[in-house]
Amino acid sequence: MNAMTPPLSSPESQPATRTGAQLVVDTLDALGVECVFGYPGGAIMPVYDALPQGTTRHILVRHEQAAAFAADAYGRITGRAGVCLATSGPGATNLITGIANAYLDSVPMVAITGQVAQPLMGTDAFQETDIFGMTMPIVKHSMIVRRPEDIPSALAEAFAIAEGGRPGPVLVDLPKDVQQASCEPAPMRRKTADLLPAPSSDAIAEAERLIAAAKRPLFYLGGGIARANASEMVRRIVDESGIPAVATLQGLGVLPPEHPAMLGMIGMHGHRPANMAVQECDLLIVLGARFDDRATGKLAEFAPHASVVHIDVDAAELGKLRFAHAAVCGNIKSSLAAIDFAAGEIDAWTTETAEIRASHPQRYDAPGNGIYAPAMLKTLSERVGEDFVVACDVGQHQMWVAQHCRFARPQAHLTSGGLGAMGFGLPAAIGAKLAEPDKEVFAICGDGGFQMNIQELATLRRYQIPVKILLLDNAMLGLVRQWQELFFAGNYSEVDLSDNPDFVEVANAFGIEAFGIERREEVDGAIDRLINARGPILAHVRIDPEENVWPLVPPGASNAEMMEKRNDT
Amino acid sequence: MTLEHIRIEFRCAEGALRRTLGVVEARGFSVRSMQMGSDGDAGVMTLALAPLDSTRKVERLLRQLERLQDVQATIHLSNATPVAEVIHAARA
Repeated sequence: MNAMTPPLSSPESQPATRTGAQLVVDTLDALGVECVFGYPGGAIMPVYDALPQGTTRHILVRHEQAAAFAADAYGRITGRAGVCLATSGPGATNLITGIANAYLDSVPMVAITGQVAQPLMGTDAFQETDIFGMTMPIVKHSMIVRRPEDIPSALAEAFAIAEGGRPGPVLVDLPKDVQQASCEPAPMRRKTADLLPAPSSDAIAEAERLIAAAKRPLFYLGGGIARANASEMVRRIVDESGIPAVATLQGLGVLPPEHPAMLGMIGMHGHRPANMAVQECDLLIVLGARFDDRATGKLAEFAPHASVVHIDVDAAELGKLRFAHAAVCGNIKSSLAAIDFAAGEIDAWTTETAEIRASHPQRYDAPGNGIYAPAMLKTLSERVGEDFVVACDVGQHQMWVAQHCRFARPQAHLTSGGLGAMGFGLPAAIGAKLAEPDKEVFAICGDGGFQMNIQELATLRRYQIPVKILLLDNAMLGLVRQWQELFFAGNYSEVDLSDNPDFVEVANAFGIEAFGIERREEVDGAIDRLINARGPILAHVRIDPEENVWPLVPPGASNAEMMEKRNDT
Repeated sequence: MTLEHIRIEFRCAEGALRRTLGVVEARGFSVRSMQMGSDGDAGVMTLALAPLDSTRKVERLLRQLERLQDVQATIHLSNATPVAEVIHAARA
C-alpha cells in the first residue's frame, strides 16, 4: 500500500497550463532533487529548455554512461535516488551499463530518457530505440509516460519505487510530444515507499534459538546494511554479542578493519582469516547479502558446517542460493531490533578467530624499490582518516582497495560489485563529491578503467570539482593478465597497454593539475600533495606490471583453497 | 520433463506482459503454453513452464515474479491440473 503525503505544491501556485517538460522540472524541484547528471540531445530538448526555470542543478557530463555512474554514486551515498538524464537512441543506450550497475548493487536511481514522439514510436525513427524494453531486465521498474498530466505522479512513483524496499533503478521514458504538450497540472503528491511487512515472529524466534545454541556463530555483513543505513545498529549488536564478523565487498566499512570482531572480507580475493572462519563456523548470520558467487566460491563447499539465519529486505533472496534455517524478511533495522542476538558459550570460538586473525597479518614488506600499491593505499586511507571516500574502477586496484584501505563506513567505499564495470571510478567520484562536498573523495583507477571514462576530466575542470585521482598504472589489464598467468598457461592475449598515453600530459591538456611518481620514496610526498590539493588533481603512479592480487581463490574452487603469493616472487 | 503450472495476477500496465515473461525466461524456465485474459486494469495469465534444469525451482521463480511492481499475486498450481481447467477456475 502506498501512503500519500500532502501536496507539495498546488496548481494555484503555477500558471494555468504547463508543458510536460516544465512539469518534469517542476516535479524534480518539488521532490527535492538537488542534482541531475545528464547530456542533451534531440528527444530530450524540451526538458533541457525548461531546466533553467527550476532549481535543480544540472551537471553536464561528457558521456551518458558517466551520468549514470555519477547518479549511482550519488544514490549510494545519500540513500536518495540519483538522477540521470539523456536523450533517446544512443543517449539512452549509453546509460544502460550504469543502470545495470545500479540494479546489481541495489542502488536507488531514476533514469529519465527522451523518446521520439509517440506517432513515430515503432517506426524505426531517427534515434528511436526501445529503451523501455531494452532495460526491462536491469530495472526495478520502468514506465513510458503517455500524457503530460501524468508526469508528476509518474516521477513521484519512480522515486518512491527506486528508494523503497530493496532500492534499484527506475527508468522513465518521455516521448517528445508528451514533453511539448500542455496540460492543466494536477496537484503533485509525493508517494512514500511501500510499507514493508513486519518480520515474522516465527522466523525471529527460530533465529534467536539458532543464535543461542550456536558454538561458532559468525556475522556475514553485506551491502544491504548500507542501503538500510543500519551500520551503527550492526556495530552495536556486534559489540554486545561478541560474535565475530566477516564482510562482503559491499559490506566493507560496516566494521572498520581494526575492530576486534572483524575478520575481513570473504571471497575470491578475501582475507584469509575471513574465509577460514566461514569454513569453520556453525552458524552464519547473514545481514543484507545474497551469496554472490565471488563471495562464496564453490557454493556447495561454502560454510559447510553452518546453519543460516538470513535477514534481508527482499524475500526473493531468502533461500535463493543457500537454504535459510531462519529466513527473516523485512527492513534490516526492524529485523535487527526484533531479534535478541544473545549468544551462548562462544569464548572458545572468539579466541580461535582472534588467533587466526593474529596469525595472518597483512604484509607490506614487498621487495625492491618500486611502488607497492597495497602499502600506498593503506597509508593513504589512514592518512585521510574518517573523511576518506573512494570510488574505484574494476580490476587489481579495486581488490587492493578492498583489502588494504580503511573505511569508516560502507558508504565511503564505492565499488562496482555486481556488474564489475570498468570506467566507474572517475564519474562515481564526481557524483560522490557532489553528494558529500565536505569529504575527501578519491578516484582510484587502473590505467584500463580510467581510459573508459577519461573524458570526465573535462567535467572536473568545468565545475572545478576537487576530486583526487590516484591512477595506478601497470600498463596492463592487470587482473586479466593475472588470470592468464595462472589459469591460461601464461598466454598473454590482448592485455598489454604499454602504449598508454602520458597521463600527466593528458590531464594537463584537460586543465587538471597532475604529476607522476615511480619510486617508493616518492609515495609519502605524493600522498601529501594529493591531500593538500584544493582543486582536482591526478597522481600518475607507475607500478610493477607483474604484481598480482593475493590471496586468490581459483574460479570454481572452494574458499578453503586460497592461493598465496609464492615465496620466490 | 514435468511441466510446472503457475498463475500470475497482474496489473495491466504497459510492458507488464513482456516484463513478466522476461523474468520467467531469464530465471531459467521455458514457456510451453500460455493463456491470458484481462478485465480493465486486472490481468491474469496461466503458464505451463519447463525448467531448463533440475536446479530451477518454481517457488523461487514466484518470489522473483512477486518483486515486479505490476505483479499482484502468483500461485503455483498443481502439476497435474490442465491449463484450461485452471483458467476456467480463475474466471469463476
